[in-house]
Amino acid sequence: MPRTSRFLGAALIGAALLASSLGAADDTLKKGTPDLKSVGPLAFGPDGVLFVGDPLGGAIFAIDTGDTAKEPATGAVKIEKIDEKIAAMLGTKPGELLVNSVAVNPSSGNVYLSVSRGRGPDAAPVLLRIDRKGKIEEFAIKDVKFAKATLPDAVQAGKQRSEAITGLAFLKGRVLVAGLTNEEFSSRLRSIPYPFKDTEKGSAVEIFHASHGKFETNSPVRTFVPYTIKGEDHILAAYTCTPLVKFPVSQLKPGEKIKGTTIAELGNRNRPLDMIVYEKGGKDFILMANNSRGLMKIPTEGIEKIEGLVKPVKDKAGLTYETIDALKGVQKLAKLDKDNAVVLIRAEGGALNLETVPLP
Amino acid sequence: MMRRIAFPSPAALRPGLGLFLLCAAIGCGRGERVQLATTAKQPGPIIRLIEGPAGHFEVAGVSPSGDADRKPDEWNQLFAVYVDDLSGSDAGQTPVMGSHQVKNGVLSFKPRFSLREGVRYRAVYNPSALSGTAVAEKPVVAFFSLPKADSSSTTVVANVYPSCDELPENQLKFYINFTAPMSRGEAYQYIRLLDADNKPVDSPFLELDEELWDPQCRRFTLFFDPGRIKRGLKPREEVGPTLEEGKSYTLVIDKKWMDARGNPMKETYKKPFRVGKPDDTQPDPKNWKLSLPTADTVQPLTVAFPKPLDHGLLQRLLWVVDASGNRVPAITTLSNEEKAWHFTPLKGWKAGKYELMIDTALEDLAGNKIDRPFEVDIFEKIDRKVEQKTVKLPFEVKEP
Repeated sequence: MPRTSRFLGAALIGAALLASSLGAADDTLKKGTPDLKSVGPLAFGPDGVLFVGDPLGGAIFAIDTGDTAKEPATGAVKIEKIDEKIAAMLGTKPGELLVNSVAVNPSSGNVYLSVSRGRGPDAAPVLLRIDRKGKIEEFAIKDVKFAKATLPDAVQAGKQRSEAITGLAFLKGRVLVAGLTNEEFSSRLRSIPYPFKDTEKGSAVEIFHASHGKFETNSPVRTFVPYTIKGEDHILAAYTCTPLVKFPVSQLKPGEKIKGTTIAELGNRNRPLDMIVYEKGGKDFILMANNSRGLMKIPTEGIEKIEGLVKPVKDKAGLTYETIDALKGVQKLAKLDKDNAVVLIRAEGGALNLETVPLP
Repeated sequence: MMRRIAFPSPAALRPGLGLFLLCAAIGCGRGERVQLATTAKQPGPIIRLIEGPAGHFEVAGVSPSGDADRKPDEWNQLFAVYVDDLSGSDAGQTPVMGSHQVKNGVLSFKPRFSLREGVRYRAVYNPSALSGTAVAEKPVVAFFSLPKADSSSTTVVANVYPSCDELPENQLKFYINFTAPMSRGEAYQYIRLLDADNKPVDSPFLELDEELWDPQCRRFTLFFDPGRIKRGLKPREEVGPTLEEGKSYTLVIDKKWMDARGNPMKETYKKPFRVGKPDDTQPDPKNWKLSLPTADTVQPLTVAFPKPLDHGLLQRLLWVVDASGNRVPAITTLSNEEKAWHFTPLKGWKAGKYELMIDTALEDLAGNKIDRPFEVDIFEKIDRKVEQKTVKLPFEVKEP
C-alpha cells in the first residue's frame, strides 16, 4: 500500500473513531420503523430524542425526532376541543380516542401527544406534534432513527399479564420507568442506561414504603419526577397509596431494596396524575395534577431535612401544599418552559382543551 | 415549481347543484360502504369510495394528466374528506389525514387510517381549487358511512374472581372477565361498590388512568385503594378501610360499559359478597395437599390450598418440572373457589420424581406473598422469611 494511502486510511479510521466518540448517543439509533404496539408515556432527552413507553409491547423506544431549533419556540399554545380536532384528523369520533401523554420537546418548544386511535385491543398508536401556533401534525413513526429497550417479563406470549407504564423520565444518561402490573402488587422502577445497548433490559428495583415509619409495603409508584436535593439526584415519587416520597437515584441498582422517605401525605381521595418541578423567585416547587384537588403546589423548602414522617399527623404532614382550585379537571401536565406549564384540561361542559398556564 | 394538473374545463364538468340522496346501498353487508348522497349529477365528477374501509376515495369523471406537487393544505383545498359527525364545530373543518395522488389520470385520496364503522364522512371535491381555474365552480360533495356490522349488545361479564362469596377485609383486587374485548378509558365510571343498604361506597378503588387490562382487553384488574388497606396512612385514618368485617357489599358492573365494537353490554353484573377477618398470613406451601396421579395416565396432579389464592397468579406462578428439571407441558385449571389447582399433562406421566415449582411472588386474596406479607410491621418480628424466588415441593409418580 502506498504511504499516502496508508496515511489516509489511518486518518479516516481516526476520524471515524473521533466521530463515534463524539456522536455516541446518535450512533445507537438505527433508521427503520419501530414496532410500537401502543404509545403510553412520553419523555424527552437531549437533542430532540423522544422516549416512548409501549406498555402493550413491553418496551421503551428512543426515537430521534430531528426536531431541534437554535432558538426553541416560545409563546402560549392553546387548542380548544383538541379531542375533536384530533379525532377529525384521524377520521374517527372523539369517543374513540385516548390521549395518553403530553410532553414538551425542550430542543424545539413543540408539544408532543401520544394518542390511541380506538379504545379496544386493536387501537392504533399515533404520535402528534403541535407547534406554538396550534398546528397539529402527525409525527410518523416510520423511517426514523430509533433504538429499543425491552422490559423483561413485561409481556409474556399467551399470558394475560401486562404491565402498565405509569411514569417515564430521562435523567443524566438513564431512562427511568415506573410500572404497575395487572396481577402482582409490587413496585417496578427500572433504570435503563441510555444509549440503549442491543441487549439492554431494564433491571427493576424494589422500593418499599413505610407509613409513619411502621408498616412497610412494596407499593407501586404512580408518577414521579427527578429532583436534585443538595446536589444529589433524587426521585420524588407519588405512590398508589398516596404518600409522596423521596429516594436517591444512586440507590437504583439491580436487586437493591430501596426505602423511600415520606415527605408529604396527600390524604384520602387523591389521585396524583402528573408532576413537574419548577423554580420561581429563587425557590423550588412541585406542581402536581390531581384528580380531586385541582393542581397542588408544594414548596420543596426543607425537603432535605425530612427524615421521614414518623407520627400520624391530623391533616397535612411533611411538606405543606396549596391547592389551585381554578385548575380543576387537569388530566395531563407538562412543563412548557421555565415560566409556563401546558395542561390538557377537561373544561366545564365537557370540552377537552390544551392550554398554557403560568406556573403559579 | 408547481406542476399543474390538466383537468377538463371546470365549466365543462357542470357539477350538479342539487343535493339528492343516492342511498345506493352498494352492499350493506359487513365492511362494505354506503354512499349516502352526492351533489354531483352524471356525467360530472363523482366521488367514489374504492375497496371498502381500508381503501381510498377517488374523483371519477375528471381526467387529469400528470401528477402534481402540492402541499397537504393545497391538496385538501382541492379534494378533502371530513368526519361529518363533527359539523357545527370548528373541528368539523379539520380534514382527515391521508395522502393524495394523481395516478393514471385519477385523483385519489387514501386516509392514513381505515375508515370507522358508524362514522359519517363528507368528501368534498372543489374544482375551483384547480390551478388556472378562472370561473368559480360549486364543489361536489358526497357522504359516506360504513354501517356497523353488528350493533346488538351481546357482551357480558363472564365471571369475577375471587369467585368465593366471603372476602377478607383487606381484599386487594378483583379480576373482571368479559366475553369479548372491551373499550378502555372510562372503566371506573361503570364500576360501583354498594353497601348493604345499596348506597355507593365512596372512592373504594384505585383509579389508574392507564387502566389495568390484559393485552386482549378481556380481563380488567380492579385494585381496592391500597391507601385504605395499608395501616397508618391518612386515607384509612380519615375514612377507614373500604371493606369492614361482618358487613355485606355488592360489586356492580354497569351494562353501559361499551365493548370494543362500541356496543353497550347486554346486562349489568352483580357480585354480592360478605366480608370476613383481615388476612395477614402468608400462604405456606407446607400446608398444601397434593393428590398424586399414577404413571402412564393423564390424570391431573391436584394441589389443594387451605385458603383461596390469586386467580391470575395461580395460572402463571405454579408449574411442574421432571427429574431433569424440564418443564412439563400441561393444561392447568382451578376449582373450589381458587382453593384447588389441577395440572393435566399433555402427555402421560412417567413413573419417577417431579417437583411442583412455586414462584414466591404468588399471592393470596389480600396480597400476602409466599415470601412476604402485604405489609410488614417493621417493629415486629417476621415469622417466616423466604429469600429464594421459587419454592419446590417434590413428589413422585408411581406405577399403578
